[in-house]
Amino acid sequence: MNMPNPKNMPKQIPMPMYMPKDIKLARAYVPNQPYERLFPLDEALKKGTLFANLYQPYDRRNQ
Amino acid sequence: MDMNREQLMRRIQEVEFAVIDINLYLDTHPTHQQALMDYNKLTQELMNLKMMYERQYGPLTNFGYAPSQYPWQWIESPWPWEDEYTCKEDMPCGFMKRN
Amino acid sequence: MWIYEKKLEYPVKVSTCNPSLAAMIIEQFGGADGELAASLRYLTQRWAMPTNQAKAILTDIGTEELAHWEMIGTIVYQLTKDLPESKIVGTPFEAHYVNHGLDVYPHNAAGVPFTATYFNAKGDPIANLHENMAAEQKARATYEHLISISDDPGVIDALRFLRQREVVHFQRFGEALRIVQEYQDSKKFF
Repeated sequence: MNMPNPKNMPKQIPMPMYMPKDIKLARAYVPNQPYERLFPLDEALKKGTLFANLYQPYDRRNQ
Repeated sequence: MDMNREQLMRRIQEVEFAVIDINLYLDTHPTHQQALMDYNKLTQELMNLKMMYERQYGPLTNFGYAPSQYPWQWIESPWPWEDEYTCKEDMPCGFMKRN
Repeated sequence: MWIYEKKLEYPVKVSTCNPSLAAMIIEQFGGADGELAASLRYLTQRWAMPTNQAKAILTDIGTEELAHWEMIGTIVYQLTKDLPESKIVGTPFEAHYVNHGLDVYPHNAAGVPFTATYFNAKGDPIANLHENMAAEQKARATYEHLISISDDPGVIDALRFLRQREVVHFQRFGEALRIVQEYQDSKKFF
């Protein structure tokens, strides 16, 4: 399997650019997703997303 | 480019899937120019692939989105849930069921 | 208006017949956090959404969920296709069979039929979008449970695809939530 190892992918993106300037209490925020690092189309379909920065595969525990 | 039915469908699925994912991105980022350019480029490729598929294997959509040869092609198998839709070249899905 | 496309969003290749697995996968066909509930939840919540981004994302994800519902139905159908009664008796699929035969029907893995009480439209876009984000997380968790109990490589492949879609949808609803929050803030102060 030539799947990229998620451990080699950057886990964090610089937050200030992607979060609102004034964050309020009692609110949920999801960082805005930058448009970058697209998978080739055949790989994207197999993985379930075109976006490498959104790809979060499941590690099956009982294996 | 000489693709059989399954390969052509696979390519359509790949391109359409990318278009879906970019579409959702654009819904919440409507002014992102690169995403919009990618969307338009892939949409053109998808339209060409679907035209190629429909010319050889019949309509993918009905309700006036694609013309039909005689007789009415829309009802022809395989429908997407039927195993000959994807498993034609593998071992038939029913193989192990009867053992 | 909706248009049907005679194709699956993602190819489904089931390796063998497996009525027990089919009886579990049906959770995502007619269960509380399944694809039908997801689709109807988002499409139902569209009407009074305050921003165009939110209207669009609910329409488009709601539509994609119907394609996922079709994939799940296809998995269940193929796992049980042409099964003789002798292969069904004694499996968890037997209870489904006595009522529905080899038709696919929206109930959960425990046999409880689908109901609109699985989702809500709250008359409050912030509350609605939070429900949707929770729904995506619950569906992701269900897919992980299903992947853990599956031994059919073709089924696992499709389940992994569907699970990743939940992650993407969560992100989009999160972005839509921000847009709606900012819209409501701007109305309050100007």
